[in-house]
Amino acid sequence: MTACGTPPRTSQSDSAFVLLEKEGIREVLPGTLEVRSHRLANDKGKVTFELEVRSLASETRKVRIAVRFFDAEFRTEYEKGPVVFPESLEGGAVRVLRGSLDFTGMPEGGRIARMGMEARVER
Amino acid sequence: MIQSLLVAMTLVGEEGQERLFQNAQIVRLMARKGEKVCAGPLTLLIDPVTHQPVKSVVVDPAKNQLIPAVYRHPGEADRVSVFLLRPMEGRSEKAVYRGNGAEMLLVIPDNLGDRDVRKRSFWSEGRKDGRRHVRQVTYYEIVAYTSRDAFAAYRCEGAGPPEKVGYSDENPDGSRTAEVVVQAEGVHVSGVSSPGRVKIGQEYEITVSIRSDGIKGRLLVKAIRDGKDVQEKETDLERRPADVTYRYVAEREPVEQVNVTYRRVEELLPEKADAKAVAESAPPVGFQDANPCYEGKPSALREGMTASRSGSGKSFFRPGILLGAGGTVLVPVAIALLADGGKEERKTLVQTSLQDGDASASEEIVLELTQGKEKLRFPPSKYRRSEKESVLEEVTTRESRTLTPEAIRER
Repeated sequence: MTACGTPPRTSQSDSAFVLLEKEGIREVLPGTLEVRSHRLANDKGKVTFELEVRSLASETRKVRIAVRFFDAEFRTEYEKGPVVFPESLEGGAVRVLRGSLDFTGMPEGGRIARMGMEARVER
Repeated sequence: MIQSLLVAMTLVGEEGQERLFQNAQIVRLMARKGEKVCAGPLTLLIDPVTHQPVKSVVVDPAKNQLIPAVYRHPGEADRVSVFLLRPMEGRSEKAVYRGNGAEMLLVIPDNLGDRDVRKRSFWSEGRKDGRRHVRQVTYYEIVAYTSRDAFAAYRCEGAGPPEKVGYSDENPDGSRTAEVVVQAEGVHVSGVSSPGRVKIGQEYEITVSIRSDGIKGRLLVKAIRDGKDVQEKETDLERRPADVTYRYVAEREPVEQVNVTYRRVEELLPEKADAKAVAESAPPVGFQDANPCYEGKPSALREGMTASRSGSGKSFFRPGILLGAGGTVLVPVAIALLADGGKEERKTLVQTSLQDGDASASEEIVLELTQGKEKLRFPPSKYRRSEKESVLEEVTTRESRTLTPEAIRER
């Protein structure tokens, strides 16, 4: 422990948040989890999404994955309750997470165009 | 009050009762005397008089009542909150919020009226992680509501206090759902059903169910927007046994409210009148609110809801509401097919039937149409009642719209 009371950062953080903008594989938690592909469709506020994640760890990990929604410029976040997937991923396992949300009635709900992913390893 | 809390404690269970009631927050909701405080989908209220768990309580703000509300959080079966609802007289202008660290308690002023809370969409706007954050409050997060306020409790990690809150009753296509208000003095009118969406130029139906048989009177339908009447229509109710269907066209702009007023012009007729006698004394047939003429492309006809065209080259249209006491009705329909500057006109006689005892019916009539034509014209200008192909009556639609059944009979 340091003098100020916070633990030293000897290891990597067990949680991370990434904005999913470009296509392709994106590492979220180094050595633990990566996003292989993502897809988001918005039909006048009715949002459907798909997220393919892969465990990079050799052992089974419990990971809490939360999906968040943004406009095209990532300036505004839109939320309708938390979208959380508590996953137990074996080493090398690939999991496809799907969901749909109805944002109709929300101001500018039709502008949702991007999503972000928050991952936290549960110990 | 103490007994109510005891019932609430039984509902919550022994575990965590102390914590729940120590933290129970008083939430003020605006309500007038005699109005209801209604529970949300995951809430139970404790009636302060009977001490029974109920879904709504009729309140009197002058009595300073506290109504315990036991709310189970959505998606978390083991998490329960208790709130104490206090009905207050008055009208709230601003939203009230209170955050207890884990969740946001929000009272949103909303003139719900008779509108179903499920058709509302609530939202709050603030900041989270340096970004603008818009949070939609779902139906299951509504703890309780009155005709003036909606109280929501929701979790929003990392977000600050809301800077703006509001509600929306707009449908995805921008149309609004009309509210139907029934003002029926002396006569019980129930079961009003209205369409979910109202668009400009769209014709839709309002069905009013009257509980008692043999009522005679007038039905006044008003369309209201921004507190002003934009349309008012009146129709006769003659020997309606059950449902009355009223067809209404939003001619200028979408309406936000439809008022249905029932005016009794006579006392109730003798109960359970002989159906056959009623049928014999009834006018042969009447036309109510029919479109005298409709011209346009098939796609436009579909929007107008008076006619539509299927892919097989057939079209059907609704001539309006035919009133009669049974029998067969022949509706002459002239179809003008306009294409490439040419004009072809065909007249046909379409037969439709009204079931015995039905005071009101609408029929869809299928017409064969030539393919490749651009315009259709449906002037259901005349109708006549026929029994075994004999023509009894012939009245123009335009006239019959204002004719009473007695006048039709005289003709």
